[in-house]
Amino acid sequence: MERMLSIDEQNYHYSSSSQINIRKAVPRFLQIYAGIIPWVFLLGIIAAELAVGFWSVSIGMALHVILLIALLAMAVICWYYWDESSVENSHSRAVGQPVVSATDQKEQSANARMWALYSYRLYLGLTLAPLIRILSLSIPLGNIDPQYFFLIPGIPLLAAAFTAARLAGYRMSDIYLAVRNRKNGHNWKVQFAVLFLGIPLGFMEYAILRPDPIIPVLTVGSVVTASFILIIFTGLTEEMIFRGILKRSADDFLGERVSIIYVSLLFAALHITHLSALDVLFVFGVALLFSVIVHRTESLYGVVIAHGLTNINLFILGPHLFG
Amino acid sequence: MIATVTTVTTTTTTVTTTASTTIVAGLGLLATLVLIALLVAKELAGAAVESSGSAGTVTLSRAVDRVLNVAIIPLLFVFGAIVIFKVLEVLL
Repeated sequence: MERMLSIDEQNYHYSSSSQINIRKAVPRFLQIYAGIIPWVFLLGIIAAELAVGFWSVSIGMALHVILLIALLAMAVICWYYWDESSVENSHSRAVGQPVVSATDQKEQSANARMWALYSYRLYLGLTLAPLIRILSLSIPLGNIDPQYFFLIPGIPLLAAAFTAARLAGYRMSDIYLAVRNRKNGHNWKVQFAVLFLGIPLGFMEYAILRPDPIIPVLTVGSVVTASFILIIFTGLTEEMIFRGILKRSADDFLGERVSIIYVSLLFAALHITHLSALDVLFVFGVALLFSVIVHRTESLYGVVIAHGLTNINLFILGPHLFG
Repeated sequence: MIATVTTVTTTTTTVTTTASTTIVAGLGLLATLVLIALLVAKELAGAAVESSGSAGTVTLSRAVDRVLNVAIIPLLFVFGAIVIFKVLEVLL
């Protein structure tokens, strides 16, 4: 990005009043459907996941590709209007339009720019959802040891997450990954307590899914390697995407309460391919819990480790202890 | 755990219970075609930034040029992985 973006501290969310203010700068379909479009994309992702899980992998993949292209197009359009909608560009007044004072015009232009920036960040973040499935489906993993299943799609996914964060202009503190956060350091005692949530959650999910172990024999080397892969390439990657980039961008665009539900629904939707309604409900609950924790503590570290521990118990310890 | 759906029989999150080489190859091909399309679009956008005189076109082209990176970078990895696995399949 030519200009360095930064998080504006002004409390801007999509609302009927902001809809009036963006009228001059953005196309009509975006004005009318601004609040609906993210939900349409969510429904599209749910449909694509249902297709992958219950109908045809190829059709599901095709739907994800269509969603990816549509989300990229939306991000481009919003970036374009963010760049274009400046005070200088809003001189002209259409016939019949009321005269607007210079101050009002400036305010309208500033609101339009913020709206376009927040939309751009949300759609850019949402591109990561179809990308997750496209990456996991298109990499041939047939002859790979199961413990590396999470590593191979995880590397490009982590790269995509960092690229999206950079393109959105987020600093580490904006996506709750700074070593010291803005409010209260990190409150490491709280983060330490949060990570223990992963232990019961992992065993609970194991009771629902009953997967086979990803390592056949428990040796120190294999457990350490598999645990490291699970913490970095599932815990860090998924938390950075959902509770970091997506929650941050949805907070700005949809408002904090709605964003927690939106991101949790999206996270649960990407678990449909486990083919268990109970697991989708469970994951939705966990996503809500993790989102609230991140919202309160402004740090991802606790939930990253908790997520990693959940998967360690689900795929390594659970099958060996209870299988 | 969401990034683990594969089209082969896995012990973790099985989507299709029978391993189908044709499906895996088809999905890899689709991902590669998407990558090629995105690279072409990025190249065209880059050329438009250099050649266009209109400010609007430059802004739009610059937007395309930058936003597409978010999909191109991971898809390049996928392409590399497909090539490596194919080569190993032939060699081993």
